[in-house]
Amino acid sequence: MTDAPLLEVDGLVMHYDVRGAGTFVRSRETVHAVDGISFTLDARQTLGLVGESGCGKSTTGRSVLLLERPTEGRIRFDGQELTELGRRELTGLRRRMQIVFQDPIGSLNPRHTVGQLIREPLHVHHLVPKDRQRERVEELLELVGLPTDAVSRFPHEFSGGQCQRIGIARSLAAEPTFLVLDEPVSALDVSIQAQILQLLTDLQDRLGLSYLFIAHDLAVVGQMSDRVAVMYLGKIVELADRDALYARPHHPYTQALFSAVPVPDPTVSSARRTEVIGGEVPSSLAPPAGCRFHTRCPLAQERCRIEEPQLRPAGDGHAVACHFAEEAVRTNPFGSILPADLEDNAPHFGH
Amino acid sequence: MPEALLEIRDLHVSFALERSTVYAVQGLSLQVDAGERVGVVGESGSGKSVSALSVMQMVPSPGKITAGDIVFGGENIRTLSTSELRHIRGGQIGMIPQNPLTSLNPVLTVEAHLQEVLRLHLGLTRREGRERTIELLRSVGIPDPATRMHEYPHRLSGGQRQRVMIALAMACAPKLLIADEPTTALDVTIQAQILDLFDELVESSNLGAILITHNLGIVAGHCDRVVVMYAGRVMETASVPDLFARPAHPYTLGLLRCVPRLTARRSRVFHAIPGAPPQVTQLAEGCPFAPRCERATDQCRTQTPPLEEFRTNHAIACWHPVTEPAEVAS
Repeated sequence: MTDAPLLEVDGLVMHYDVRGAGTFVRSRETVHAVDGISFTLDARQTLGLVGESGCGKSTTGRSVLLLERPTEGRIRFDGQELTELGRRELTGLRRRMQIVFQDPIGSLNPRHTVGQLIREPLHVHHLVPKDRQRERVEELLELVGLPTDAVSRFPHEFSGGQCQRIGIARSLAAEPTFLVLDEPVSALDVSIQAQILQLLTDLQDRLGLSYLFIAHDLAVVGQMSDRVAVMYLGKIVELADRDALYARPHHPYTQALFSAVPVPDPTVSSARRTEVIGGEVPSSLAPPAGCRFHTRCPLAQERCRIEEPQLRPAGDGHAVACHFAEEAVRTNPFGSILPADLEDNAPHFGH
Repeated sequence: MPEALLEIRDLHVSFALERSTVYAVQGLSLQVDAGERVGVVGESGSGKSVSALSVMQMVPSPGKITAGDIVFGGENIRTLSTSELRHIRGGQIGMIPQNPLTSLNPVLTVEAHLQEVLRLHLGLTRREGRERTIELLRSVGIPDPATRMHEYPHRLSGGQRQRVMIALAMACAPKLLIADEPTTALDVTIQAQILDLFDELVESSNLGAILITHNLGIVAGHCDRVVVMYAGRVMETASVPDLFARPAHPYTLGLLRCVPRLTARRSRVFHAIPGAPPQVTQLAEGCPFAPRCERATDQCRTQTPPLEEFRTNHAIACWHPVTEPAEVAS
């Protein structure tokens, strides 16, 4: 059993019915938030999920925890099929699967003290006897680098970075093995971001945690992940080991994302000749037929408009959903000087 | 030497609240020439947005400019009357805000927004205004502008809305463009499109521009000069190539080390600056960065370092500047 992945997601679909436009005739439309994605996550590993807003990455994070029931698909956690479990069994298993949210302040109840916030999961899951709870809360605060006198204070007395530490302590209170980290640092200033990323990395090493790390920032995802899945309009377009993906993105969309990231180095940004990707992400109410990226892809052919590309192996441990991935690798349509090529001439600050 | 397009001298802005006063900007000096893009970079609470609003005399109440001069086109903006200011705002100075949705009126069409500006500032008739509106929307990359101008803001995507805001800012052929985090609300591919448009407009119209951002990558790619702010003060100012190649202020160096890089190998060690940026509610002597600075000494805690030239066109406010190049490149 040890070889099986901790988390297996197979054919996950998440559709939402919404009321369509039209004043007199009520029409029904469907948001295709996530449209058949599959991935696995091994114990003690981090899978990065990256993409632009509306690509379905946060929805994926929530469905994996069954915070919302998926329209279709199977989710196996530690060998158990979650979609078949009853409420009670699910609650038991949920103790081991927790989430950290993007908005560190908004996700904490402002009327509860930090002690109450962290103690709540202990109550819910009957983890620690009452007389030991205070001790456990202090332990958790220390674990995330907060002073123990935070117990009796309220969330508004803390900065954004400290609130995110409280959120992490609260998630860890349930003693999980798996955490969904939904944009955990995107609301924070860069100097604080680094503190939280370090904390998450240390906690993973110390407690043997597995992470599904959801973010839109490719550089942050690259520093946190062992494997990375790139999403576009509800689909995974590329899935690869971190190093393979960052050395040589295979999907034209991944390439476009890389070339659009501003690089904090003027010699690099003036040297690299990048083609800015045109157009915008189409509506998820009516995703394009065939390959969903074909409306913006410079390599698109007739076939892309008709036949939907499936995720297929493409060498170096890449899986890519593109009919012309080999051509994309060869021609690099967005002209990005690849990160690996930059490595030698870019000055490094620190490491 | 020709006169600068905009010169801010020793600007102080503070917000008197019920129980305390927030000293948002303390002694900002900055100069923008025509055709020059000046980046103002800093973390939240560094005073960068308040500085931008000060140029237009639009600091929200209870904020007040308490000292300093803002000279634009030879005139001190602080001494102008409200009606004179109205000519400058949206006329000679255009502004691109962070959140285009809250800056557009939801009950007016795109055309109505532009028509209003064109009529008030340039006295165009409806017909002339419509022609100019179509032209402007086309120039900022809105496809099929003659149809799209009838849309209401909520019907547009975030990128399209920001393009409309840019068209509004450019409507009266301004000399100065102030962009306050213009792409923070946008996705990275749309951000690249908007920044390209920004560069194009600055170049084709020889504008002076102030680009306020927290993103050092944007500064590196889209600015000529940069001002690094912290706790309402200028910590360092230099040409963009010089700042990135030889940062001299420990705060700038710290920031550069914090930024996760696409190009770096994965390491499980992150450079962070300990602590958090302060909110300045007391005017005390000393460097505001001292509590977080590993080079800080007693001098830093008791005497405020002045902003002084450190190298040619490179000034810093620090008692213990970073001089060893090895430390930067190691």
